[in-house]
Order: sequence, then structure tokens, then C-alpha cells
Amino acid sequence: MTTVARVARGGWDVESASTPIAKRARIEQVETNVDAPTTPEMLFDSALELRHESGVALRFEAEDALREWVKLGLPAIEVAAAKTWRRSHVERFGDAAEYDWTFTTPYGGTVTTTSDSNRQPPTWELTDRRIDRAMLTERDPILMYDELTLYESELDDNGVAHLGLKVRVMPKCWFVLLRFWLRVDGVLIRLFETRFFCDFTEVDRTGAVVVVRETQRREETWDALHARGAPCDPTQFPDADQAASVLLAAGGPVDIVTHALTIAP
Amino acid sequence: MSHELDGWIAALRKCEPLEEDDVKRLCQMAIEILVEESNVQTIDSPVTICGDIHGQFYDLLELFKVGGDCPDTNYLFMGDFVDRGFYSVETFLLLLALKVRYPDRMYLIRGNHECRQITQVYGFYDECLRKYGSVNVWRYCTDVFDYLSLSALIDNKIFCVHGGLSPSITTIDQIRTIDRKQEVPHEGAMCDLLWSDPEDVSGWGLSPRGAGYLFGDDVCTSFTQTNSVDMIARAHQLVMEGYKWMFNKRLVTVWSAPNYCYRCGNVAAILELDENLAHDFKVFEAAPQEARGVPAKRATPDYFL
Repeated sequence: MTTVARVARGGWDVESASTPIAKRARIEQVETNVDAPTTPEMLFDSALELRHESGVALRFEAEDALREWVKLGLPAIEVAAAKTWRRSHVERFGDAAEYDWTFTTPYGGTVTTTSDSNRQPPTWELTDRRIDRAMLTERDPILMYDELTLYESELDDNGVAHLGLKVRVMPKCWFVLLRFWLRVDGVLIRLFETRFFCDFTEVDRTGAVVVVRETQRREETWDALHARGAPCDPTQFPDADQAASVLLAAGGPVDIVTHALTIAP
Repeated sequence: MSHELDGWIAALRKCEPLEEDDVKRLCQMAIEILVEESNVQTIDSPVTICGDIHGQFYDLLELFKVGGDCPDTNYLFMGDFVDRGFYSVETFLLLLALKVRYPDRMYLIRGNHECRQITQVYGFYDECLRKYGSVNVWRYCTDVFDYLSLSALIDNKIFCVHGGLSPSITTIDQIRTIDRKQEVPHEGAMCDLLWSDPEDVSGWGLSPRGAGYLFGDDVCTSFTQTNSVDMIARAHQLVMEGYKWMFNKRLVTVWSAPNYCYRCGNVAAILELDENLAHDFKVFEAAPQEARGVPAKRATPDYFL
């Protein structure tokens, strides 16, 4: 059963839909559309769309995220038991198929325009703007809130891969936190956090509305965590929320980059 | 003894946990029965085959509502009783108590989650600790896991296993020679039976993760022909529709955990085989009580950053 949350505010119409996992036919369709050897066993048709009155929209969905996974095409990593396996397997049966089975995606949302708006979708450009964290910590009422899982895999009980998001719409702004979370037990953890922020009470000199996107990427091997004396038991990283706080405290390397999407009036 | 057992079963059916000492005694009684069982359980039809349950206790009660109560219906559960759901303790102990009470009507075989290492990561260990304040119950249960059979053969025609086939196993007789009373190893025949997956590959494939086997239609066909069985029934993989045929209906995946992990929204299925091995899938949905205590689907608004 699909449940929908929706609110309109400050020139934006925000709608989220959460669904059960996709059925066989839909899964096969996605595999064809993105040209993937497989898809996560929990693939949802859940989606979030933030539509601006100009006709520009920002959308989040599993299919586009998987398209970016295929495009990124990270080399296959191996589970802890793989070394002995690969040796004996290759001797007997030849090479195994290799692809990034962790479903790691750099997905940063999909920008679209409605056909009647007669404009090209704007693109993300590097920016000095920052997310207004002060505005986000104000206890303004939350007009709309939702959490969605776009896809998830148990990696055959070798850990977890999860792409999900949270959204909140406030009287003056909206905020989205999109996270790709990966734990391969005994091997590595990866947390890609992408934050999207729009203060719709502000326009720039040209009268444009600006969406700021901040991407933070963390990746740590089990060995590196262990060497620093940081937590490295899988149960200390059950989900993205807890992993985020543990990783923050562990103070490892992080890549941060900020983009802006300028929506002309 | 059966009086005491009936008391435990009655309590467990209400999702009331047993005292630690009772768990210990139940597990001892179970081991005495399981140790006599072959690695390939011989089962006569009619019987109802069930896939993964994963601690979804109220959904298990729903399964019994749909399939008939034990001992009125004979059951084979193909492993993965524990982990991920909220009631692994009650789920496993109810199935185990029914096994001890009706050993010829309730059959349990081992899944890849019935293992010390996996249960420490995916929930059962933590649940035992939370509910009993010690890990003794986890120890008693994981000791039982080592005695669970590895597969079943129904009327010599339907081979049942949690995961799938193994390149080390050509004949069913070879399974009978495995020394199963141990933690699930990281490789070898016993590991493969609990972990492997059917896939659209030719012959044997290695999982892209670098460990674990995939087996194709040709492997399945050759196994069924060599062993004169009609088909393979297995569990281990989530399927939205509750069951999934592959390889010209020579293999079926049965999944019995509806609304898996309280968020997938999938249906579950059990496979009923009558005395002529005619099959009928019963599909069912999650029990409303199962999700009690689970965060509401619409999470509470939160000032996340």
C-alpha cells in the first residue's frame, strides 16, 4: 500500500510516496532500464519530489540512483572469506562475474523540468554558499516530515547497503538528507551523506531561488578503524543514523563538496 | 513430560518467554531427539513446507492459522527461524517445543542464521541478552543449532534445503556423510547447502562478493536426474510474491516472513504438499500484532541535520 505525504509552501510543492518493495516484473524493468546485472533485493518505488512553481523539480528515486551506481562502476570488493574462496573456485570453475555488488551510488538527486515550462533543467555548480544550519536548528513547526528507503540489500548476510532519505519542510525552508550507507562486515564501511537545503524566503540578485547541496563522503576500512582504536564491531554500526554518530566521533577522513542549483525566476 | 511441554507450548503460543532453566531443559530434550536425525530427514507426505521466519512471531501464528495447527498439519521449516525480527526467542522456542512434543509432525532444518557468528550480528544474541540479562539462553539455543539436520527428502521426490546445492555434492547420499554437529563452516559442502543461491548462470558461478556459490539450471537438472527427485524446495531469498519458480519448475523458493523487517510490504507463502505430492501455495499477509512496538510507518518528525 502506498502512503503519501504532501505540502505546498513558498512556491514549492513537496510530495513523498512510500511503497512496498517492487514485484518481479518491476524489478526486471529496472534491471533493463539501468542495464544492471542485478538489483538490491529490497527495491522500493518510494520517491520524493520537490516541485518549484517555475517548473523545475528535484526528485529522488531508486531507479536513477541505480543508474548512477552502474555508471560509477566501482571495482568489486571482496568479503572477508573471499581469499580462500576465490583461489579454490578459480581453479575449478574459472573467473567469477565482477561488478560492484555493494550498490554504491554517488546519486545526488534528479533535476527535471516540466515539458510546458520550456526550459532546460539547471545544473549543479560549485559554490561558496553554505547550508544555513542556524535556520535548521530553529524550532519552527515542521509542516511535513517523512523518511523513505529507496533501496536496501542485506548483501547475502555480509552486511548492509541502504539508500534512504529524510525530508522536512518548515515555514521558511526545506531540508533533505539523502544517505547511502554500506557496511561490509570485517571489510569496510561507507557513508555518503548529501544534504539539500532551500531557504525559499530568499532570492539572489537575479531573483533566482537557490538550492544548496552539500556532499560528505566517508569511507573507512575495518583495519583502519581497528588501528585507531575506533569501534569496529558490526553491531556498533547497525544503521546510517548510528554509523554517522560513531564515525563523527571517530574523526576519520571526510570529503566535503558543496554545489548550488540556481532556479531562475 | 508431555504435560510440562504442553505448558511451555501454551505459554509460548501467547508469546510468553520461558524461564531460563526451562529453556535449558527444552534444549537438552531437543538435542536428544535431533542427534538421532539424519542429515537428510526422510519425511512422508502430506507435509507443508515453510521458508524463512526471522523472529516474526505473530506472523508465525498467522502461518499456523493459514496452514493448520501442529500436530493437525505436518510441517517442515527450512531454517532461518531467528534474527532480524523482534521475537526470535519466542519463535525458535515455540518451534523447538513443538518439535520435541511432536517429533514426527514437526521438522526443522538448519538455515544460515542458525549459527553463532551470524546471530551475534543480526539480532538473536542481543535479543537474548535483553530478555534474559545473560547470554545463557543464546548459548543453549546455539548448541541446539549444531544438531539441526541439513536437508529433507519428501517421499524420495522433493529435496529440501535452506540455501541450495554444492559443487562438492553430487548425490544425496554424500550429504548423509557430513559431520554436521559444528558451527557452520566458512566453506565446503555444509556451508554451501545453507548459503548457495540458484541463478541464471551456466554451471557453477562464484558470487560477485567472492564467497558463496551460484548454481544454474543445468546443475539443478543434473542433480534432480542423478538423484531421481522431481524438484528442489529451498528458502533463503526474499521474494515479494512469497514463492518463486525457477528452472522449469524444478526449483522453488519459499519465503514465509510477510512484511519482512516490518517495512518490505511483501506477502509470504507456504507450500502444501498432499499425499500425492500435488502442491498448493498458501499466500498470507502480516499479522497486525507483529508490528506492535515497531516505530510507526510515518516516523515522528525530527529536527535532523
